[in-house]
Amino acid sequence: MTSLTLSLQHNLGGFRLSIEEELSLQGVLGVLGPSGAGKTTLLRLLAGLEQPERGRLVFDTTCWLDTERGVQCPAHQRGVGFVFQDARLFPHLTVEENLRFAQQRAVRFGVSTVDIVEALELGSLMRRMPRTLSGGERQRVALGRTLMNRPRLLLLDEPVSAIDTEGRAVLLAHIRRLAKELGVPTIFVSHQVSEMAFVADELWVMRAGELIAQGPVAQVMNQLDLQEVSGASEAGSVLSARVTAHSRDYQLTTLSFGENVLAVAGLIGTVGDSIRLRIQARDVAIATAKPGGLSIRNVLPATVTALGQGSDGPHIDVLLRCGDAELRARITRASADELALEAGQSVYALLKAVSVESP
Amino acid sequence: MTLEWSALWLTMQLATVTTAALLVLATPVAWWLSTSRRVAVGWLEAIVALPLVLPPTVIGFYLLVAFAPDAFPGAWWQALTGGTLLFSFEGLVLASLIYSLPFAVQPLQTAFQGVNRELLEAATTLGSSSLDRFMHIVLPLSRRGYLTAAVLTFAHTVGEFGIVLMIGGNIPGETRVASLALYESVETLDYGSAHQMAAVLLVFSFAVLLMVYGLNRRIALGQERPHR
Repeated sequence: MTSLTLSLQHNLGGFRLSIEEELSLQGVLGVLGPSGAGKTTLLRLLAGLEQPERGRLVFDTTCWLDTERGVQCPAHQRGVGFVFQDARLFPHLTVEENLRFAQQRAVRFGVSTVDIVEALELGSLMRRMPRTLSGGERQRVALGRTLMNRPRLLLLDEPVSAIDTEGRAVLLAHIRRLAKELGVPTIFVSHQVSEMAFVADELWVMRAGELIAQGPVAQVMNQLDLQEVSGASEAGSVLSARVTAHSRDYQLTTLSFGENVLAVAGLIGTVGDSIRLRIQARDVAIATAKPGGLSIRNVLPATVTALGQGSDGPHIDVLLRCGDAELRARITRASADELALEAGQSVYALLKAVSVESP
Repeated sequence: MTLEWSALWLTMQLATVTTAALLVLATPVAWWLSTSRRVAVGWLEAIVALPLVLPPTVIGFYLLVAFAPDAFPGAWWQALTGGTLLFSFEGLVLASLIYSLPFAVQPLQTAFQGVNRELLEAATTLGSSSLDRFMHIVLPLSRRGYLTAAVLTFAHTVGEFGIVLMIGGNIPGETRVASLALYESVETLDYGSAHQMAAVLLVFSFAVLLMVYGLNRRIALGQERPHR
């Protein structure tokens, strides 16, 4: 657990970045928001690549910045690792030399318990020049290079946005696992809700330079007023589940969370694994009575906890409690009126699709 | 009709010393010009470029005045070394440094400007100090700029004539460089010697350029070494 005191005031052209927070960093902190919200600037200020007009930064017991007292720790002495959107590998060095560059400049010595080359499967790339690598490979090397430097804090600025979908899932899984295994506090910036759902433990939502929501990822994801940030089609819920069985005949995996059971397509993980699910609001339908004759396999008893307010559009978001978990459903306003939905009502949630974190 | 080997040898010495010294001296100047945003940059750029547009005799004239033992630089040099700057090899080197300065600074400046600043940011976050970044990122990525600067400086110094004529004094073995020897051969109507000297310079220059362009291609290809 590492403490971080943030007090930043910075002009971003159209608006101001203004953040006052004291937090304990553990695991992955996701920072979500539309482009131009100031997410990247926040990371650059933390890394010391830019200086704020006014501010104070204290990481653990080290003061990185205090504009009032004239304290400023130069970027290269902060021990902050930064993975950029565009890998930024040194073009005149091989992959191996890029990694060695970082290793030789690592501030903290001692034996690392994790072999990063092996963990990120970089062995076969070592002799290659960066320009011969694919986008996904480049980003994997960039992550490896930063971790070789043994940072005290890891900053990831949309690290997977420039690579294809398949490579994206692989890299996200690497990030999640390595952040945990190395125990390095991580801040992950993205405008993709789906990435946050898989990677983040805690979530910050930023808009126009300000922090508008924060908390555990599952909780923030279900806050109704975040629609405009998370995007109309991307809203959804995150929940943790356990793999309980595989059906080889039907190629289905049975998952459980609390007392509820879900079936998802494909054989996922091994029995006993804990995985994360993401359920988009538009994939959840509501029935007031238990429906029969349905092709949808996942029907869960739930209680309405809240309804979204005052929208003029066709849709409304409804929050449901399902055991310990919260689900978000997006239905038409007409349906909500016809079903006369209200808080406290018992209903059934029909899940049309569930996506699972890739292994 | 004899080829003046001593004049050729002196020219090579002068060009080598000048090139080596200028690559070192021009590096901080070019780096500052390529990174600073101060108003003074424009002034320094103009001053560095002056030798490109001034007639060599103008520079030669001012140096003649400055190198005189009663002027400050000349007197200071004399007190320091006991020799004079005028009509000496040291004086020629000093003059060449000024005369060839833009040929070293400008290619380096262009090369430095071409180094992606984002790579330097990445290096910073890996704990690399500014000197370390310069040595390990900027320098290797500017190899072609250094090669170009070295060749242009060397060639330009070999071709120097007007300034040498004014401050060198044409002393054999000390300041009588190839271009002066050629000029004197023509003046004395010794066309045979003039032909020899001109041909040697021509072949030499062509050979150097050929080698450099070949090397340049090798560097360019080396940067995109295919993987094995």
